[in-house]
Amino acid sequence: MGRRHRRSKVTRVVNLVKKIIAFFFSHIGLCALVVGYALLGAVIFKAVEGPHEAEIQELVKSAREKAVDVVWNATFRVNRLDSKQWKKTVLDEVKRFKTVCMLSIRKGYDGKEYGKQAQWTFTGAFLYSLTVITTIGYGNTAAKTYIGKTLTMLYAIIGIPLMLLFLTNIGDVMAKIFRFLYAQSIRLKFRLILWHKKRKAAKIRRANSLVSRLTRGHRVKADSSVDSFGLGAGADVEDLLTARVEMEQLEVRETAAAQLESMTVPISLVVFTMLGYLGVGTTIFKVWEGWTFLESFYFCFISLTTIGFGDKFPSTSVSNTDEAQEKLVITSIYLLFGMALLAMCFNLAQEEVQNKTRWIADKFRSKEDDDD
Amino acid sequence: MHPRGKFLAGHLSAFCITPTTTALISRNHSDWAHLQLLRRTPSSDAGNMNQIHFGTASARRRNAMILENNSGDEDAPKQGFLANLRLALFHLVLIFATVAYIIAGAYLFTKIEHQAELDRYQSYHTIYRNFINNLYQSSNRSVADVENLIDTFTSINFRAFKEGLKPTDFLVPQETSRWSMISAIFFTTTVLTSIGYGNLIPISTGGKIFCVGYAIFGIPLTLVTIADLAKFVADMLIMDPTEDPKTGRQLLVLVFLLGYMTISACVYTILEPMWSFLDSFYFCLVSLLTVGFGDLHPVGTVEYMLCSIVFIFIGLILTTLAVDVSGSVGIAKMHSIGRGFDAMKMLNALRVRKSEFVAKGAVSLSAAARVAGRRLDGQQPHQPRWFAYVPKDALTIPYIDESANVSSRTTTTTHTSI
Repeated sequence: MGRRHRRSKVTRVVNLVKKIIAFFFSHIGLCALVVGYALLGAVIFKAVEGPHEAEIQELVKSAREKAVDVVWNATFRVNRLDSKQWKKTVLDEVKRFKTVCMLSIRKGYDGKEYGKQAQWTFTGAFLYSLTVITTIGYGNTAAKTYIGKTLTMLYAIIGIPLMLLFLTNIGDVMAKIFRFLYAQSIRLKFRLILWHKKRKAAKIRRANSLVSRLTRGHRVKADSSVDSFGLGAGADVEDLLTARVEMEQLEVRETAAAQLESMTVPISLVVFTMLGYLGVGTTIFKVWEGWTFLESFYFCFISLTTIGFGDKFPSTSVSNTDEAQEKLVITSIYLLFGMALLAMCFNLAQEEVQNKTRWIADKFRSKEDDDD
Repeated sequence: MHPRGKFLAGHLSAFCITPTTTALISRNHSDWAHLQLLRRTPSSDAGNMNQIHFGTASARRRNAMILENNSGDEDAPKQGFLANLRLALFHLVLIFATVAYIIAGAYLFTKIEHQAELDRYQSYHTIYRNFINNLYQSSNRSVADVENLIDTFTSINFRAFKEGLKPTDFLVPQETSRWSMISAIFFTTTVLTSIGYGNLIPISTGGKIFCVGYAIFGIPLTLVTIADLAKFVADMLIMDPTEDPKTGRQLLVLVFLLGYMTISACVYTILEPMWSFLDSFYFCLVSLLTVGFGDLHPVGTVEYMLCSIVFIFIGLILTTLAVDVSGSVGIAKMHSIGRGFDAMKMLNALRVRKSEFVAKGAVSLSAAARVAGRRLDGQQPHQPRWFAYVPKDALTIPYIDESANVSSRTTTTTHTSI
């Protein structure tokens, strides 16, 4: 007996460990994998594109300093002799500087100063990695070197399926939670209705007892035929009321059972949830970035549907201060959670649409059977 | 009654196909679509759910195939053309609806944004001309006044640039707008496929609001259409009997997609003077994965833009097909990995239990019993019965000891023979 008990305990422990490993691998491990992959991408892109950006910035700075020197020398020497020569020299130098600027802009120069500001900081690279694997793709920050573009392609090919797996998994879990909460709310609602109806039944029962007492008091004084008639009438009324209340309770229970059995969340609730989430994001970005309500809503919508035009971009998140780091983390969490929520809403709406379509098909089939 | 029955049969087949089409949303290239496909996870509970879903999906497909076969059989002796038309009608209606939606949206965007752009141009052009006149009128001004005027001009330029106008736009009369019909069609295509290059964007308030509503209703329509076409192509592939192995089909689809992207990259390299082959391939990959940075985007004539739009749609269909096939194979591999995981756990459990038995015969006996038990029970969670039944009060019955030993010996010999 001791041996059998020990074996069953060992088996249960093994099963428990197996379940724990599966849970970690499927949910928390997957989240950690996605975050780790984004951080890895941030490190790689910063290492690849950062030096290129610094090189371009240095080039532009040198060209600007050279242009200033040439113009100053021309002003210092030629100004006393010939203004036409001065104009020609200055215009030539300005044209050459403009050419250098245009070429640098094509290679990725964005006007930031060398050594002071940079686009490819760790936070900027992290946000870039996130926009790649979520297929948002703002485009404000884009790889410019050959190595950067090649790495972006490889990173996207591996990262996008990983992100889809993550969103599918988290979306499924969130859909289950949402459905569970909805079922609980339905049960609570019907419990309240039942309690109300039971209270009503108790009131009716108390009224019936009062009536019967009055009838009994009256019976002592009057004759037998009148007493029996009154008592019978009271009994009939009481039975009818009790039966009606019980039927009402039964109907309520049947309705609750039917709704719980269907277990489909209405589309209006799904849409309301999504609009609420967009509203929260709109408020956050309105406070942070100083955008109008429409601009913030527009940005949130364009981001969560992964269109990602890039005309609106959370620029204050991409710098090296602590406040910017916090904003970046919150923005990332908002985007990831928002896309998972969108997947959940799409999942639930799809179920609802499928059920309605099946119902219509069944209706048509039954109609055809009637015709046959 | 017969014509009405025929009509209802057609409607019934149409409505039966619709759930399958709705389910096909999960096979699209977009996030929402991919989510459904890759929902399956290697955990055991999810594995069971996966099996149930997979059975349901295959059953639904079988039903759809049976319905199509029945309709084909019914209509074949009457009119083949009508049958083909009915089969293709749903696909054609879906394609036509999507194309009409794109063109209507492009027309409305052109109306809204073109008018807004003209208004903005007139406003800033007036400010610009007033500034020029003001600057030229008074020739003798102080340095501070000149600096203020230049600062004002600079701020005006910045605001104009933010609203989509460039200083060079004021040099020539503004006759043509950036929102032509073809550029608007390209814009609506990138919105509905959620690529979103961002080179052309709505700037006015009405344009932004309309864009949000347009995307809400248009993106699901586009997803359904692309998923439907991908399923059509998948059915054509399945009809080939020579491509039964899944791995071969997967490889074929992936090679075809890679070839398509390579050929498109070569074409873009030829047509775009500033792009190298890597740039072209980068553009194709970024577009077909719907990342859509917008740092590289096609600009050219009407025919060129239309060809780009066709390239995007065909590429998205191929990408959806590739994800569908690869997803199926990936899910099968995950299942096998899950089973392997269980096998490893069982091996570990066996090693743990090995220490409990001293004799090798006992070990082999228990292993054989366990294997037999598993085969019989089908991996059910019941406790495996490794030995003959021994009552709890066996020790208190002294006259049964020898017979018990004899029965255990016979059991041992039986197992060894097995």
